[in-house]
Amino acid sequence: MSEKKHRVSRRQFLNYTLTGVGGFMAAGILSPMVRFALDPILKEEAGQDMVAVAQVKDITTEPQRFDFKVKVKDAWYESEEPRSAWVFKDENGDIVALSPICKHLGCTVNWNGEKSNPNRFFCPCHYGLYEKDGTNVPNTPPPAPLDRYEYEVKDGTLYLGKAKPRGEA
Amino acid sequence: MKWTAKDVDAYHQAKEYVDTALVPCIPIGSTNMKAFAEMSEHTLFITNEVERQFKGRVMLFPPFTYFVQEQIQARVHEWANVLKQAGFRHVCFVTSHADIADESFIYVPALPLEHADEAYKQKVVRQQAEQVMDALVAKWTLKN
Repeated sequence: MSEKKHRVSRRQFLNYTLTGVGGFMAAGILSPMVRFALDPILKEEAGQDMVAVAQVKDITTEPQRFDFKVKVKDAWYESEEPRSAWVFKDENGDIVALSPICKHLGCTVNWNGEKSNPNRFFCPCHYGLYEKDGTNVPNTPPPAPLDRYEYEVKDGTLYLGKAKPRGEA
Repeated sequence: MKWTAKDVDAYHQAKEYVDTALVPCIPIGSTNMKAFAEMSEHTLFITNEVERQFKGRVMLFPPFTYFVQEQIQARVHEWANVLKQAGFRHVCFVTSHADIADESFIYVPALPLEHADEAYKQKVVRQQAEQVMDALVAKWTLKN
């Protein structure tokens, strides 16, 4: 008899409701936990955004210094940090954006900083020298060429990204 | 380099290259507080910028802090001696406080930058930082 089959006893009814409500509660507790556990995997890698730095028409074959700011997040503290780049066009007309950070101990290098070494980058701290393309001059302290910024040109504006060691950029 | 655990590690690895101690001097006064706060802020701006550009040869120490009523010559002297003994051949005190700035200090006049726009602020700080850096380079070339 179909009516009897579908009859739900008081005990069954309580069972169903309790499992239902309990299930909801368990899901409510567990799902944020699971989400937290998975969070590092799901998070996008904090890629640094490209920052507008200069107008392409201002870039010449002579390296010029452009200053810009990037947002830096150090633990919970977010700040803007000043950065600089030496930007010029090489013989092929390609844009080169060099990081001014000396590969020796991190001072800031200058173009034509010393009169006896024209057309080179000069580090005033320990007299390191780099050629125009960023290659370190042998027998000066720097152990590696200057880093190059990743760059992008959009609508006549130069955008710079991360500075990468030569060979990677 | 800055007075942080990370930079001090780097300092230990490159000790022979880091021969300059940079000490910002910070005045505290109970009257005219705002002017002294401005001086302090300005000195720290400048010294931070100098440290950024001369990271590899300069150690930026925590500020030398004093009350404006204090007689500081002896203490400054003490600091300079201790730092020299620690291996810093050049010890530079930077201040915006004109009353204490004699020839042993590098003096950077504080300008009221509070309401100035960002670009102007940057320009002033850069110019004054360049003056300090020129003074440092002069010291370096003199003794080398």
